[in-house]
Amino acid sequence: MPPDNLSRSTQLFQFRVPGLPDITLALGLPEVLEIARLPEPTPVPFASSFILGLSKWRGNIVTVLDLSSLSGRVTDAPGGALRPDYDPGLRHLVAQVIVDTRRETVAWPVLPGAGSLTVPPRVPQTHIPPGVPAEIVRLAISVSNQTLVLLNLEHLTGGIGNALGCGEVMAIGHVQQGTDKQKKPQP
Amino acid sequence: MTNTPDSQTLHYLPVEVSGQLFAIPMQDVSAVQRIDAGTDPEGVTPQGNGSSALAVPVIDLSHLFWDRASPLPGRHAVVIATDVGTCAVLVNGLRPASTAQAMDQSALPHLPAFRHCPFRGLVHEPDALVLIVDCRALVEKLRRASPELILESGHAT
Repeated sequence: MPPDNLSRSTQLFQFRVPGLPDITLALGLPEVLEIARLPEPTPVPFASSFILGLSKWRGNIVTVLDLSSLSGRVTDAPGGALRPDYDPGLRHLVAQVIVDTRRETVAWPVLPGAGSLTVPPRVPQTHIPPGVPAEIVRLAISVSNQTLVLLNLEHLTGGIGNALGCGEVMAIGHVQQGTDKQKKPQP
Repeated sequence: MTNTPDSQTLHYLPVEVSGQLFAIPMQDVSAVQRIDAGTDPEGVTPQGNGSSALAVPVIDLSHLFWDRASPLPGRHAVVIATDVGTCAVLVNGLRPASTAQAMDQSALPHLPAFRHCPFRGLVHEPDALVLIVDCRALVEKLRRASPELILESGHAT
């Protein structure tokens, strides 16, 4: 990950995400594994609302995130279902993050135009753009009159990972246990 | 939630809920009952009628997982029995029971976002990733939300 004060020249990877097209986000280049097309994510009921689902990348399970949901600008689909505007044609940024000493792989869809850039030393810091939660930001800097928001992946995948509870649930009826109507399927 | 599938070979019942497949371990499946056309499940069975057959509350998984419900006729109620209780979950469709070897299974990622999800892993099917339902965790979760939805384990046998 890049140093917090960017005291020397640093290589970053910049990108934008659907739902937040006017904000340029960035990661340290070593955190980025690949830009790739992934199979459509499998939604996970009861997962946090910023989880789009699970997908596969190079044979491994990756957690697909919805960064735009963190801004509160986009209404989440209920129960962790894929958002209706999810675009399966977009490529995903695949990144690695350490969670509780374990290496995990995460990904999120990115808009076209993502790429690496070299940031000179001692670039000026700037304010975090409205709508971006401060806890997921490592640093906001100004590069060529453009604000660049460096993400803190550990906080992104750890600190705000509160799961939804199980809301009000009602039985819609009853079935009888132990009647001849029932049969157990055979494997 | 357990993050690692607890057996090398998993015998499971693939169920479809609102277009998505889930795997219910066969060891937890007590019975399956089709909801017939014209049947109002609310009136199928009087609860606690003293007969040998016990009424098991039915919970619509579509509503539980996605907050949407489907018409009832033609759907199936899968009775899941665990050591912490029994309930019945309504699903949209069934596929033939199947078996997954260890190499076809994965653990869920170790992210806090999944810590309270009632799933204990994934089955890699050719065209999809299928979440393995942790029936014990699901029953516990339902019991915490609405205790009346769960038959105590002593009554379910």
